[in-house]
Formats: sequence, structure tokens, C-alpha cells
Amino acid sequence: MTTAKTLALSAHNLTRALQLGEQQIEIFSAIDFAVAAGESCAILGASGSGKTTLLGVLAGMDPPDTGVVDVKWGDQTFNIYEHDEDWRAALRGKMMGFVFQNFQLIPDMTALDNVLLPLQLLNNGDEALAKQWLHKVGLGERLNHYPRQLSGGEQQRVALARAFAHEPALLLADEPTGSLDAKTASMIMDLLFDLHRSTHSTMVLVTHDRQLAARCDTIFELDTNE
Amino acid sequence: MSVTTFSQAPSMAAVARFGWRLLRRKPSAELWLFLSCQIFAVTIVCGILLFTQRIEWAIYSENAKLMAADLLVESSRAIDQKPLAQWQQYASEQELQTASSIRLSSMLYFEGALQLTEVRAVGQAYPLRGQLTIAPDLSAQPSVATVMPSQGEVWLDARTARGLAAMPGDFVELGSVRLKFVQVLHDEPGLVLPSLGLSGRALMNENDLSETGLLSAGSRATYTWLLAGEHARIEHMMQWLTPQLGPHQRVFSSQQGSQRTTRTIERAKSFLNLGGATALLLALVATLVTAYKYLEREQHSVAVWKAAGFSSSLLSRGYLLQFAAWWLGASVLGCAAGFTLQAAGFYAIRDWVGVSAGYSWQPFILAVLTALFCLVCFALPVVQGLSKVSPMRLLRSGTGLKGATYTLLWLLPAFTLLLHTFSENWQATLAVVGSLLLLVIFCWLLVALLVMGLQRFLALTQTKIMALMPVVYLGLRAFSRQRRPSQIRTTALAMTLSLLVVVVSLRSELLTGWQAQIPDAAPNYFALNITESERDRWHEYGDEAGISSQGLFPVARARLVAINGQPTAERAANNPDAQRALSREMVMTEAATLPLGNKVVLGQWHGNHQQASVSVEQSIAQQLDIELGDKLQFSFANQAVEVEVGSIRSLNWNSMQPNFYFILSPPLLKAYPYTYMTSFLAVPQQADALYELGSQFPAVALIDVGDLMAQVKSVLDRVGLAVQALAVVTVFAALLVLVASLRASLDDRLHEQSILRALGGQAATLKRIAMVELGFSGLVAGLVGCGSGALFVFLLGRQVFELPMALGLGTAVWVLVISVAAVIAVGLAILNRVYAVSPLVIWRKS
Repeated sequence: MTTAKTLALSAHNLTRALQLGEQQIEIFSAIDFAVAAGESCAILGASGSGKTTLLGVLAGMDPPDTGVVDVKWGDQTFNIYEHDEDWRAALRGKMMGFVFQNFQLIPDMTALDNVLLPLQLLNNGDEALAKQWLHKVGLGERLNHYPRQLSGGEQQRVALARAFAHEPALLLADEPTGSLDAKTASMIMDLLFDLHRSTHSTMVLVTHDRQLAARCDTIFELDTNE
Repeated sequence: MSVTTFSQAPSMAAVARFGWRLLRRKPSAELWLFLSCQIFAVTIVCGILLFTQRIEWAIYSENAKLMAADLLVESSRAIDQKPLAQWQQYASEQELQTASSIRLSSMLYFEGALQLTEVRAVGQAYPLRGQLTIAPDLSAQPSVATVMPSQGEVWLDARTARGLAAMPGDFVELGSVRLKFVQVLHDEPGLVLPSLGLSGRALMNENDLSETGLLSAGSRATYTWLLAGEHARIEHMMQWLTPQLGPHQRVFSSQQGSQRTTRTIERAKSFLNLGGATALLLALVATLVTAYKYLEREQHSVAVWKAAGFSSSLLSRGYLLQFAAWWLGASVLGCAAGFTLQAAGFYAIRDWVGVSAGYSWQPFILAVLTALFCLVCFALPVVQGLSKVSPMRLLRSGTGLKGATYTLLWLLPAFTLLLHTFSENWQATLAVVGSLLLLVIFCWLLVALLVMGLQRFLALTQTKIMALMPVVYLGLRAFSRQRRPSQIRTTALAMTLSLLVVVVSLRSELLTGWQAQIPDAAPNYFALNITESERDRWHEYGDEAGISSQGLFPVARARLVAINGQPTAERAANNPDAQRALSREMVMTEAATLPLGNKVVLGQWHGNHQQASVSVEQSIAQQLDIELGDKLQFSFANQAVEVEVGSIRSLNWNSMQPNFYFILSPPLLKAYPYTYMTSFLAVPQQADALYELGSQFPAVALIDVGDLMAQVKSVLDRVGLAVQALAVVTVFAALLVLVASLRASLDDRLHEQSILRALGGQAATLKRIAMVELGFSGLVAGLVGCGSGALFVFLLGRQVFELPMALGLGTAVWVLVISVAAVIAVGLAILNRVYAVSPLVIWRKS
């Protein structure tokens, strides 16, 4: 399934607030956001500015209080929140890949099993494909190692292989280098951008690092609501 | 320059402040679960012990009513004054009440009419327990007697009065005295041990007995010394008395009751002890599972405190203080809940129990000790695990549980000790602990084997199964890849199910067995002294009155005097039980057909063979060491007869049929004076027919065993209820383990499921995967639980309950179905929020 360059993402008038006891805290309000197909966009902001929440809303995991999130797929455009959670999950499974700050690997699964997991959820337990992706991220010799046996950088590379294994049209990355040292972080980011370019996928990258954000095609900056 | 001592022990105030701070935190789910387990354990212990103790006391009290005392010594000869004075002295030191009675059979005369009657001579202290009811005439309603017959008076029952045609106010003759018939005797305690042969009853003052001249040497009277008082003192008195009794004396306590109730109570107590221990153990398993989860959760906070400079000793003491507060709270709440539950249970059966049984402190003390034990199970792994690991290790490692594992080693002896406190029996305690250990090892190995087998199977068939049934593959994979947690959870569940299987099987076997003991149509009357000439007429009358006898057995009394030529006195010289058995005449019968309920276990039934042969009941054969082919010499009215043992029989003593130790081959018995005996069922509506029966056959003695049967039935009903209640409690405990074990894995599952959802897993698919995983876990636990449970049921049935028990296929299937369904249902209920909450929320929390 090669779907690159066909998916664009846009959001209009997004508002999200959290209810903490009797107090309602507004995370962001009236946001318009767009990323063109095949491009990369950085969501930049300080801690607590709502970057991760915005990413969750864009991924269809967290319905906004107001606003719409549109996915443009070829000639068709869908407001993803007009559909139920299962539909959105299927959309994520088929078209989106995730990279998280804390890697979010399943601890009692080997590197290979972790990469296989999204493929298996798509009823496609293609082990050869999973192995191929692990080779691509330089972990061909660590297929049967568990996350605890891998360094932070290696774990994030497994996460990258997992995110790209099903060749998603949209890659969502949440502070992918937040838990890594500078050198490893730089290596991981190089790898991420290489993969983004080689797969022609659209990418949304959440970061607080301006230098990193500058590597993206566009930057979307979130202000802290003080 | 001053030196600062950093290793200084924390002050009490600092510990108190820290403990208070811990207590004020918002309780986590693990804490709630732990407190629930602890309160549940205390409730079980307190509730069950209080309930069984009160039921037991109620049963003893009922027995005591029937015996007229809590303890009695029965002697076939007058008890010597010297030992009696010593006994009296000791009894008064123990603050026990005493009384005496003498029972004998004699003829009563009134205006030419004769009636064979069982006469009981009593003093004013009689009865010590229970009540007598009397009426001023035959038609009046009976009321409770407040005083016993005065000198010169006699109370007769209706049967005797009618037999003599005597009315209150008449004078009847007993031996050489004339006694005024003043009251009609109705209910009377002391009927639990009816003497065979007489049915009419008379009660007189003990001071008149010597004047009757009936107590001459060789007269057949039964002397009874009665005692009543507090349970513990009665028990002590019995222990003190028993070794001092002569061969003609026997002691009975209300705690022994009749043979049937005793066995029933013993079995019920064994069951309740086992069930209680099971429920307690399950609560402890749940506690331990929760403890480790709590430890995992707490380690981060502790690491932060340690990094901030809190010393290990301050942390340990602070946590201990917090645990002590929980202990106190759980003890109070658990005891209150246990007390309320047993009170509610007792209220529900108040009509059966009918006595205000008291309370003792023992159950409360044991319950509080149980809470302490629970706490130790919980607190020690936590305190040790948290205090002995460095803050860096806690911050970096996943668990930090290693130090805590060793504390489990001493939990075993501690649990053994706790169980012993319950059972007060080392043998039973060690048997239960040993069995449980074996059960754990057995379940663990079996589950490990199954998990390994599954892993191998999945590795071999991965592609095929993934292609055909991806959800099944992913579910099974989820089960097998989390090998250790799956194994721990499944073993805990398998053990739980195994114990549940044991409790449920025992419950149904015991209840069925008890119900079968006294069938609804069991005879409630015995008839004795039917002569050969009355035999046909008896049958005819029975047919007319609708009273059908269970068969007439010719009976004669005889003594066993020698076995293989050796006098029995010599043979039984060192065996008091055998001496007792030989000291009395035995009722013998002859039969060509094996009586109903009898079964030949050794040799061959004699049938109609002409050779003189005897069939011996197996318990007496064991007692007297009688074997097949032995020659037994009996003395029938001083005439000796020798017969060979042709068979050994087992029989059901609870059948309420005439049962015999020795059955001769015909026509041996009929060569000596004999009468017939039989048993029959008469309903209350047949009272007139019974009275007519008495008139038609004045010499025939009728023994009403209806009261005894009613008592046995009532006891069975009560213990049956307790057994049912305990089965429910065990099921509840099993659910607690299930919830605890699933709850313990909730955080990991939440995290994993949120990743899967982010990666595109649809809620319905993830639910199906979870169902396969949970269902397989339930299936494995069910299979292992059934297997080990079946083994335990078999062994317990053989060794403890003496019942031929086996786990039925139907029960096994039910257990499997319930196991799978319960694990899926509880699992999905717990996991449901995983599918309802956004993965983002879960990540934020983690």
C-alpha cells in the first residue's frame, strides 16, 4: 500500500478544554491548522501549551470541544469526527504511524513483535516486511531483543520501524527525541526525516525545539494560555 | 566543632507526622482492594467462627435438653458412694449442678390390670436441662412442670394410664408401695437414649424407690448421674471423669449427642474449618497480589522521599504506622460485619435454633489476629521492598521487588500457625497446609507446562493461525507472551477454582449424604415383644390400620462368652471398648435373607444352609478381633451354642430399621425363647390406631423415636444451611482473587491497549483479543482447577469425610464454563475503561 502524497490534514476552529474538578482549563481555542500532502509540519510550543493534546485531536484520538478535523484523501475529504471511534481507529491503523516521546514499546514483546503488531492489527502478519524495516533502521541484528535489552536510541528506532512498517500516509511524532541525549537525538531525527522523505508521507512533528522545528516545511506555534 | 549524627533514629513525632501524611493521601485502587480483602478476611473468620460456635452450642443445648443434662454418667450398677462423693466434690468445685435418676422397668398394678412400664425415679433437681410437660388429666393441655413428683406420688404417661385404666387421683402399685397418680406425663427429656423393651413411662420421687423393693441385687436398673454447667467446665469435667469410670459405666456429653448427630457435626465442622480456611487463604492470595501492585505503585513516591532525605527507618516506621491504622480499621469493620452477618444468619434460622446461644471472645480475637496476619502478608513485602532498595534503583528499575520475595518464606509457617489457631489440631493443620502447598506446586507446574506448550504451538503455526484467525492468534499470543504474569494469575485462579471445586463438591456430597441418612419415609416407631402367637394378628392389624411394618425379626438376648474356645473376658482384658461390648447381652436375630441395607463385605451369606453359621457386623468384628471361620460361643438363657463366622457385614446404622451385630442362620435362634421386633412409620393422624394397637397388644412395647429423628433432621438442616452459606462465601472469596489478579495487571493493560488503539486497533477487535486471552486464561485455570480439585475431593472424601466422593463430569463442565465466563466478564468489566478513555488520557497519567 503506497499512499504517500495523497493525504493532507487540516483543522478549523479547534477548541479543547479540560475539566479539573469544578475548574475548566482551556488548553487551546479557535485553532486553524493545515499540513499539505507529503509535507512536514512542526507544532512548536512550550511545556503545557497543548501540543500533545492537539496531536491527539488531529489523530482522531481525542474529540475536540468545537471544530473539525478534515483528512483529504485523494479527491475525497472526511471530517474524521463525524465518524465513530472504530472508524477513526481503522483510519489510524491504515494511514497513520505514531512515534512517541517515551517510545511506547510493549515491554514483553521483542523488537520484531513490536514492529509486527500494527501489521497484525491490519490482518497482515508479514514478518518479512517487519524484518526489512528493522534492517532499515539498523537493528537487523536485534530482532529478538526485548525493549529492556535495548538502549533509548535503539528503542526509538524500533518505534520508527513500527511507525513506518505499514507505510502510512501520515506520520505523527510526539517529541520523538525528548528522552534521548543530543547525539542520539540528532541521529534519530536524521533517520525520521530520511524515512519521511523516502516514503513521501505527510508528517506532523510535535516539539519544543526551534532548531528541530526549523527542519520541517512549516511551523505551527502554540501559545501558552496564561 | 560539633559533629552531626546522620544515623540518628527518627523521633516518634516525625514518624507520627509521616504516618499521618501517608494516611491522608487519597487511597489508590490497590489500597481499597487491600482493605476490602482484609475486611473480608476478618469478616469470614469472625462471622464463620461466631456462627458455627453458636450453632454448635445450640445443637449441644438441644442435645442437652434430650439428655436432661450437659453431661451424664450412666451405670448398670449403683455408683459407689465413695467415688460419687469425690465426683460431687469436684463438680461443686467446678460450679456444676448435679442431679441423679434411676431408671428401671417394672410392672405397675391397678385394680387387677398390669402394665410393663419404664419407671424413672428422680429428685427435685431433675431435669438439669430441658423441661417436662404434664397435664392434670388425660384430655387437658400439657404445661411445664415446675416441681417433680413429691414422695408418695407418681406421674404416668397416657399409654400407661390407659393400659391400667387409671385416672388421676387413683393409687397404683409399684413393687411394695402404693403411689398416687397425680399428673399425666407428656414430654420428658432423657429420651435420646431409650432403653429397649418398654414404652410406658412413669416418673416418681427417688425417695420412694427403696421402699418398692425393686432394687434388689441383680435387678436391672440404670443409674444416672447428671451434670450441667458452662461448656468449658463440662468439657473439663468429662476429661477428668472418663479415666475413672468402671466397665459398667459410660459417660455421655451433650457435645457428643447421638451417634448420628455427632458424626454429622464432626463432618460439618471439618467442612466449615476447611471452607473457612479456604476462604481465608483466598483472601490472603488476593491480599498478596494486591500488595505487590501497591508496592510497585509506591516505589516512585518512596524514591522521591528518599532522594529528599527521608531515612529508611523513618519510611519503614511511617509505613508501619499507616498499616497499623489499617489493621485497626479493618479489625473493627470486619468484626462488625462478621457479627452482623452471623446475627442475620442466626435471625434467619431463629425458629430452628430456638435458644439464645451466647457469644465468646475467641472468634473476635482470632479475627483480629487474622487481620494482623493479613497485614503482615501485605506490609512486610511492602516495607522490606521499599526500605531496602536505594532511591536510584527504585527510580531506574521497574519493580524493586527482589528483597520482598524472601519474606514469603516465613509466611508459610505463620499461615500454619494461624490455621492451627482455627482448627486446634496440628495433624489437620499440617495436612491442610501440606495439601495446599502441593496444590500450588501442582497448579504452577501444570500451568507452566500449558503456557510452554502454547508458546511452542504458536511458534510452529503462527502464519497459518494468523491468516485464519488473527484475533485468536493475537489473544493467545497475549496470554503466552506475558508468561510470568499469566502464570501467576492463572495459577492463583486455578488454585481458587480447585478449592472452590472441593468446597462445592463437599457441600453437595455432604448435603446429599445427610438427606439420605433419614429418608422421609423412615420408620419412627419400634415394636418389641411381639410373640409368635401374635405374629399373624399383628400383620392383620397393621394392614387394617394402614401401618405397614418393615418385616418382623425374631429376637432373643444372648451373651458372647467365647471366641475359638477362649473366654471373651480373657480376650478383651486389655480392650475397654471390647469389655464394654461384652458386658451386656446382645439382641440376636436369625435370617435366611440378607436384611435391607446390609452388605456382605467378607465371606458368604449363609442363606438357608443347614450348617450353624453367624454373620457379624464389621465394626464389632474389628473391636473383638473376630475373623471369618472363628467359632463363636453364645449363651442363650444359660444354654451354650457354638457357631462359625460365615460372613462379615457392613450396614447403615442410620436406616432406622432394626439392625443387628449378629445374625444367625435359621433355625438356630428359634430353638430358644424369642419374640419378634419390627419398625414402622406412623403419622400423627394415626394416633388413634396406635392407641388401639397398644390395647390390642398390651405386652408389645412401642418405642417412639420420632423425637430423636426430628432432632437429627433439625441438626442436619442447620448445618446444611451453614454449609451452603460457606460455599457462597468461598465463591465470593474466589471472585475477590479474580478481581485482585486482574486489577493488578490493569495498569499494564491500560498502557498496552492505549498503544494498540493509537496504532489503529479498533475497540471491538481489541475486546475480542482480550476475550480470547482472558477466556484462554479461564480455560487453563478451569482445567487445572478441575484436575487438582478432583484429586483433592477424592482424597478428602477418603481421608477426612469418609464419603465415597468424586468430581462429577457435570460439575467439571460447569466449573470450566463458569471459569471462562467469569474471567471474561470480570476482565472485560475491569478493562472496559480502556476502551472508553482516550489513549491520550492514559498516557498523561502514566
